[in-house]
Amino acid sequence: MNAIPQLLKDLRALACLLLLMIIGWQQWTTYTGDPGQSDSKGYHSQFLNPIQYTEQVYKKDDITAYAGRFEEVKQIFKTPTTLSYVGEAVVPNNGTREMHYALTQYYMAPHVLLRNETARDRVVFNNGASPPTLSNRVCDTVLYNLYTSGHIDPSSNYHLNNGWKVIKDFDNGIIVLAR
Amino acid sequence: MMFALSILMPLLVGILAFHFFFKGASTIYSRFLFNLSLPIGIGISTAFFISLNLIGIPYWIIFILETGLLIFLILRYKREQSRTGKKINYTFDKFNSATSISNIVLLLAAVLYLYSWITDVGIFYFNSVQSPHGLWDAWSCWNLIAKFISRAPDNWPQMLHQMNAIDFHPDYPLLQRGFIAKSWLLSANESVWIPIASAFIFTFCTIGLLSSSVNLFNTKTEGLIAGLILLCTPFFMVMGHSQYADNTVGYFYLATVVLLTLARRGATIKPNLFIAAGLTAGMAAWSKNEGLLFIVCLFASQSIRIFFQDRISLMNELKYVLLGMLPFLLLIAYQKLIIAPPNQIISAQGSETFSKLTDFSRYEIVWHWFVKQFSTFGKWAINPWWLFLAGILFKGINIKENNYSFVSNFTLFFSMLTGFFFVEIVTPLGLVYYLSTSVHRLFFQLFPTFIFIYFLAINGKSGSQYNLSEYILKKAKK
Repeated sequence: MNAIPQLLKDLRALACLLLLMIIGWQQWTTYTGDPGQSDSKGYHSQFLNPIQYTEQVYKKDDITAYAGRFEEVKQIFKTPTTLSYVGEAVVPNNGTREMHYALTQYYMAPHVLLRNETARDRVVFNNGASPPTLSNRVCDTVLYNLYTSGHIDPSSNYHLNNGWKVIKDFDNGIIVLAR
Repeated sequence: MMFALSILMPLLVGILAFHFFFKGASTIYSRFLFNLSLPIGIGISTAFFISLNLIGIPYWIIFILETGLLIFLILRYKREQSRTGKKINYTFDKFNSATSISNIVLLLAAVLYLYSWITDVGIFYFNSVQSPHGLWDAWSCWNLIAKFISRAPDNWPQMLHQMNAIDFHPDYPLLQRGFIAKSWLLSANESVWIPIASAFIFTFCTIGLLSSSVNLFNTKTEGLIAGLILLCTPFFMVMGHSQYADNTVGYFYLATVVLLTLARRGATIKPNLFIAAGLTAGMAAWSKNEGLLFIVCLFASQSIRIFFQDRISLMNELKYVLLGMLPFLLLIAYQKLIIAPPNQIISAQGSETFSKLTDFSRYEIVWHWFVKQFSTFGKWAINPWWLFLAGILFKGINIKENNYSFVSNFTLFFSMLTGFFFVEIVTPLGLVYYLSTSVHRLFFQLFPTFIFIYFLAINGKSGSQYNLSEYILKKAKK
């Protein structure tokens, strides 16, 4: 009768071995090719050349690249300020427009950038052809982020035609206006 | 140097707290100590920083106060130890040299664990250098608010109050944001490596805590297998390097359940461990809004214990849990009521909520998404749920161990899943959009806790109600 508990113990151990093999195979799959991404070649090339890979990709991402646009503009505001924000329509899609707004807020912190929340999908964010989407709260300073078009059209711009003045044009699509 | 200090200080705070929780213990398992101390230390240290900052104390004075208090408490602890003459024995993982099939399995599991841990650290690093600011929610929600706190330490609450709540979620809790901001201030450098380090700590401490606590309750092999399940789940690493707070809140769910189970091990009540469980539950609520649901479910799930223990002792236990979470509940209440604009899900509720709750097509859609998650969970190459089922068939389920902890733990897990289900039903956002961006992350918050509860349930050391091997033995004897 003593043989049965031992047999069960060994069976359990064998089942554990099988389980470990499955887990090991899963980790190997992740290492050699990410199953979630059909075009992924896995991580083995990164492991073989970690320094080269780091030099290739580190700080070359889109989020880091966007930072340079705000170095100068941040120096205008000495204390935390609340600003209105105007984006533009000349961007590929709504997602890109959202990303530009979020990135501008990310790099302009601790200054708060406001835009109209209810009208944001109905009104065109543009370089001034139609009324820009202002927040319910109207600020004294407005920041334009014209990533693609770069410049305000003075003839049709809502702000310039309503008594606002350009404080500084940073020549990279960032323009600060005040009334 | 200061970067290292920003991690070292919470670690020391956590170790001190650990020794308070386990006061009187003569042996301490070092891996368990480390994996529990560091995140708890981060929570306590950040709460100390944010609380004093909110009452207007300059941040540099807070750092001096924290350092001074830490040195004082360490000296006091050392003096107390030398006075009582009691020595604590710190144990490490050791392996038996005997050659049996069980030891071969243990050795193989240990080798595989080490291999998986090293490859996962590498994967985490490579993905982090590729996206050093984290994925969208990390930079536009978590790290953004950390920038507000660190760049305007004197008036960030006023600035947050004006922010766009839909895009940047200033109402989300402050543990992760506060820790990153505090570390940035301490190191006087807004390095991307601080949020990366924060994500690394919570991701790998979850694995370490899960593995070491299953080791404590079950066996070394099962402890290693439990850790391996997380290590080898590809999406768990994605959650880590994304720098979202899901792993943070998931860690505190796990820590709460582990501490509650430890508190109920043995015959006598352990108030310090119940306080610790309350503390970690409070930290869960201070990590993500889902943590508030966790607190509600925690108290609701404990009520089922009325069938296994007397009402007075249960109320006594819950009193200590509440005491532990109280500082965090106060911090959360202050943030929600004074600082943050209203939460988009809560503020949008009204008459529409009822119509959503009675719209059964929504239930069908959510159910469909929940079921779909089970087949695609974690981006495993095979469906891992069959392996869990196989474990139950081999070892059975034991519900009596640790004073019926399985029953309250499982009720907690199930009520969290139910809560998540209803949050999806009443969401003011587009249902499919919300499901597609949230369900997998919600499941992952609970995954480490599920693994722990599972291993606790199949632990057939004693008091087994139904165990396949015992059943076969009885049959053989007949």
